[in-house]
Amino acid sequence: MSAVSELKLDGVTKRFGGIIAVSDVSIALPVGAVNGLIGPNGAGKSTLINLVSGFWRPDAGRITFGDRDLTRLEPSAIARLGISRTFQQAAPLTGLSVIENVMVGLHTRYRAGLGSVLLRSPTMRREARRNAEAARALLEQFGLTADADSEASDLPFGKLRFLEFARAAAMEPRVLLLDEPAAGLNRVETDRLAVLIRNLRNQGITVLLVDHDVPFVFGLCDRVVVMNFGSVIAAGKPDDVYGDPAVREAYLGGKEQEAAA
Amino acid sequence: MTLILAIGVATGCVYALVAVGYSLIYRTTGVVNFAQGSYVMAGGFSTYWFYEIAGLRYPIAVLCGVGVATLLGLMLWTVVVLPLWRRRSPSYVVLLETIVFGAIVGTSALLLLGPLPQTLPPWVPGLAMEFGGNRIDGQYIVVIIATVLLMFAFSAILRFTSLGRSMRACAASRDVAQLLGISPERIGALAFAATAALGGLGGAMITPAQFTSADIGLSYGVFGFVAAVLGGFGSLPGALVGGLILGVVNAFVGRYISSSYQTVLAFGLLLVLLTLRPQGLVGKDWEEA
Repeated sequence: MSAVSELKLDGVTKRFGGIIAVSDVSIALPVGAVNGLIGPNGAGKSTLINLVSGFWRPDAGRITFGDRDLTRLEPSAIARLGISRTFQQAAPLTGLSVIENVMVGLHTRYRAGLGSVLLRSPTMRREARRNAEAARALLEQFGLTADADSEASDLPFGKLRFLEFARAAAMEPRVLLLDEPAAGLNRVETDRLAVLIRNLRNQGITVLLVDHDVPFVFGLCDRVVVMNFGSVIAAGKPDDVYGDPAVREAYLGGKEQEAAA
Repeated sequence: MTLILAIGVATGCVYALVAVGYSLIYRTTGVVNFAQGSYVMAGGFSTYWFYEIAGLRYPIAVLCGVGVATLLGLMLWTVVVLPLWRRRSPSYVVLLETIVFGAIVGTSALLLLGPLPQTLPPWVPGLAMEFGGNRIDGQYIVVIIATVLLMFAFSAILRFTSLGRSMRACAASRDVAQLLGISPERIGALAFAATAALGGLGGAMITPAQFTSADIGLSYGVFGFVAAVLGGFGSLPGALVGGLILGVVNAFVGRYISSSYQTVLAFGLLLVLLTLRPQGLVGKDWEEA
């Protein structure tokens, strides 16, 4: 399954009015690697994630996953193919408890037909039980066991983030798109996040990580893609990209000055 | 007294079933569906047709009647609402289209089955209850018991099944639901079909106790909407409470004042309540469902 699960963007372009948010981007994400995507504000990083997850449609180009063309698919269909994402703003499902939030993510795996749901068939009961067990295991893994039955929207910010990861992981994705996962997390939480992301990679999941935190991205990622003004300006191993003059010019230089100030 | 109370509670139950429809559709799809009352008419009237004219056995006729209402709900979703929804049409356009759809259903019933009110035999022949010297028609009791059971079943499905969780996920955020692999379009179809079936069953149940005619869809639609807002739009217990209050008030106004004041009073009640409690009688959280 490994070779086919490669996510590829080929000449992808997205315009909003007269602004070109993403311009002719072609990248391929190696399977089972953590790919960082960095760039200054407005470089098109989040747009790219919205395009891959199907929330927006590209104006030109193709996005493929193995031999499947994702370009015209609905977000829910893309999610079911194994491409999962988190949002920049943590988005808990309000009105559902923490464990229910995760169980919704699991539903794709354990789905009994409508008939057996209404009849409460043995199959459905067994699935419901397995579903609850799997959800508990995920909560454990993401440090949320004590909050299982709390209302999701009552969680503090850091835990909300981890709930998002747990929910995304519940879908057993083959590709995980993380939109600024470390934003707003403290140092301890960021370190835990890095461990969790490495674990996911070790399970063979391809990760695409958008973040502003440059040390975090370079410390964690196997590969880094740099965007500026909607185009890819560099891609490769972190060390090579870090030394690339165009990158320093466009992005890292500015960041270092900011950090020094 | 008790008789009027029973009538009020039973019609209130039907309002509640319609109100649940409004709430569920609104929460899962964001649409206010004013065709909700036409399912009551369609359920009752087509049961009448299947039983009296087509000559089917009574239980089969009821099933077919509910089936017709359900198909109407699915049709409204796939043919009318979904195309607008996909285009992200403004909500007032969608709302208008649902009113038009309801009117078309009413007019079609008028053309197909005529203007005369029709009724049906009671579900349980000979059932009646004595309350302080008053004889209460057994059909009212059937309506009340069936509604309570339906409400329990409905909230249990929402609360405890993965299907219910998907619906609640959709209600909380369609974007997040989508990226969890839930298709809001499919959930919408399911919600439209399920609430149409509820309304249709309400119509088939209330017809033996009262009557049905081509034009009752409008009043059930309006009173069901008022009940939903009274109880708190989006809340299941709210729908039940709102429906019961409205049904009882209506029955007493109709008996002791005049049936022409029913609408006035229903809206008066709504105005007063919304001033005092804009969120409705029961909180709007589905967790309370």
